Amino acid sequence: MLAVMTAPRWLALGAGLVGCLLAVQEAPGAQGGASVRGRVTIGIPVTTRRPANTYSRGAQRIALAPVSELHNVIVYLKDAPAGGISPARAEIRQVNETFVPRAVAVTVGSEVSFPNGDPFFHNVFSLSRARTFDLGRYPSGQTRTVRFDRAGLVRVFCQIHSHMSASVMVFDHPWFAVPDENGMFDLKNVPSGARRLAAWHERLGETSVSVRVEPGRPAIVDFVLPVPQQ
Amino acid sequence: MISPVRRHTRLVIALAWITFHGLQHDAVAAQDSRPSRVAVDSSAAVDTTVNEGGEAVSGLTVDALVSIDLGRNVQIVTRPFLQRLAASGEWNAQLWLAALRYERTGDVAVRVDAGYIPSPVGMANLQLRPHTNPTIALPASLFSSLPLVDVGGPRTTLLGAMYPLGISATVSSLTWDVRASVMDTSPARTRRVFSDGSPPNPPRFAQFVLGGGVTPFVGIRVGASVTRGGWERAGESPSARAPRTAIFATVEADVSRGHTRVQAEWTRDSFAVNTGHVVARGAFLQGQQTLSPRWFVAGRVERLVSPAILAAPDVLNVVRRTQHLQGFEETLGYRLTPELTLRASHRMRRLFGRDDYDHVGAVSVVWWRRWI
Repeated sequence: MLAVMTAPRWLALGAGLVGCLLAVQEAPGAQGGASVRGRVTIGIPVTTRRPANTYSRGAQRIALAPVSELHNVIVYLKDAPAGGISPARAEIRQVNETFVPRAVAVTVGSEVSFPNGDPFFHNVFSLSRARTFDLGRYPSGQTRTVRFDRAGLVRVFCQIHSHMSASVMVFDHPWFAVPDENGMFDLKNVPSGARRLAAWHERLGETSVSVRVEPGRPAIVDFVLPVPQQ
Repeated sequence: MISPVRRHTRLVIALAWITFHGLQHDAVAAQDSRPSRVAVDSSAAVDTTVNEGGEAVSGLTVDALVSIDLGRNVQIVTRPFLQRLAASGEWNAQLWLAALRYERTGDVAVRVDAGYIPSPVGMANLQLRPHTNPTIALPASLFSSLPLVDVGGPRTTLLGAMYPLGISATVSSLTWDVRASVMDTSPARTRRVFSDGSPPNPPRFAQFVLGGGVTPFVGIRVGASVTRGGWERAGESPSARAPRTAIFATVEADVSRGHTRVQAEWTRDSFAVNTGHVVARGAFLQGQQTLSPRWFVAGRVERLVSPAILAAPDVLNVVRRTQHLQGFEETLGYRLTPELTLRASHRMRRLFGRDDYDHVGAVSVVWWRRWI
């Protein structure tokens, strides 16, 4: 029977086997996992840095506006097994002397682009251990892209505007999320067992809670940053 | 008569009160962030310089820049400063900036500073903080004394690093900026806010400054300024029977793109003396190139030209001869973290009236942090 199989059939069989292996690897917690949902609330007023351009010949053109901080929170599973990821693309724009969003979560191998939306230069750089780069000065409308190949926290700054900062959190597993405008998040297929779930904010730091994930039963975890709600 | 120390203490208490009240932030919706009322950054730099004879001297500079938003586009800006002079080992505590600022943002933005303000003259004065200076040494035009301009008169610099008492108004857009200022200090003669009389502060002279610049493309700015005001008071030199004026003209350029930044400044001082006018001029060109996220190189070439008095048999018969100061500095820098930079440089300067260059090596650690 094998002898009569044509080359395309071999290829299809091989591809199928590889696909099955990848599927198992892509969702290490798929068997016996459950979703972990919840809501993030910020419990204290958060301020952002404002320009202090004392040593400048021009007056300040931009007035910073209030920003929703819930988009700058990242919820993730701590000590999760690596694997099950695919690269993605994300974007951090430079608009009105602000990185938007200020926090981005991606998987290892992903690329983040940094378009300049301001009519003047920025100089995006990072000296973080997980990724070191300096994009130089480039004008409005242009973009530069950085690939992140190591898991960890990458703090991003602008050399020209000291009040600008952003964070790229790079994961080697798929269990992370950025809450929506209401603070809601949903991590799917979290491996069952005793787990630690963390919510991180650039200024408020990390808050983590323990959660018991049981197969097929969604777990609900609410965060109030910076104090954990037990 | 209030002593400088008591005046200093009162000023510190007043600033502390303002800072405390500035920190009382309005209740905001917690899910939204708002720009902070207070902005604070600080820097510290330790420099060690070794000359050709192997003698090493170290200097220390610590400062903080504090800006407090009082609302209605009004801020208080201040910069306390502490320095240990490398040459003498003396400590120098100053308040280099203490100004009330009105700033209206927009396509045509307006700024008015009143109090002890950053010098509105030239460009080099904007790079006095260690983390904004690409090399270790500052341009000679700011600190190196010119040869005596007037027989028996005061020493001058080409363009003193100074924080005068004054008022400055700036209007700017993306493509142009103009400013007009009135201040109490001649750019040729630096004043200190806190002075114990050694050396004594120069007299106050009204100075009128007009300046501006154009930005034809993002990354290129060309600017100029003209300053007119007194530089020598009657009786400061044997021939000065009336106050004398000086005119300072500067032209500056700042070009940056990618990982490269080049800046240049040209200055011309015209001092009125009893025999007419004495003209001193100078220029520097400096650049910085980022080699990698952590490594950079920087350098500066500078040249000052000034007449020096050779002989003065009488006040109307003064023999002058042109002298030059020439300097070069090459710097290699390494950014350890976003807040910490290590630099090493070689500097050679041929001072006024000298034939040979002095060579020095220097290392520097610069720390800078934005707190709020």
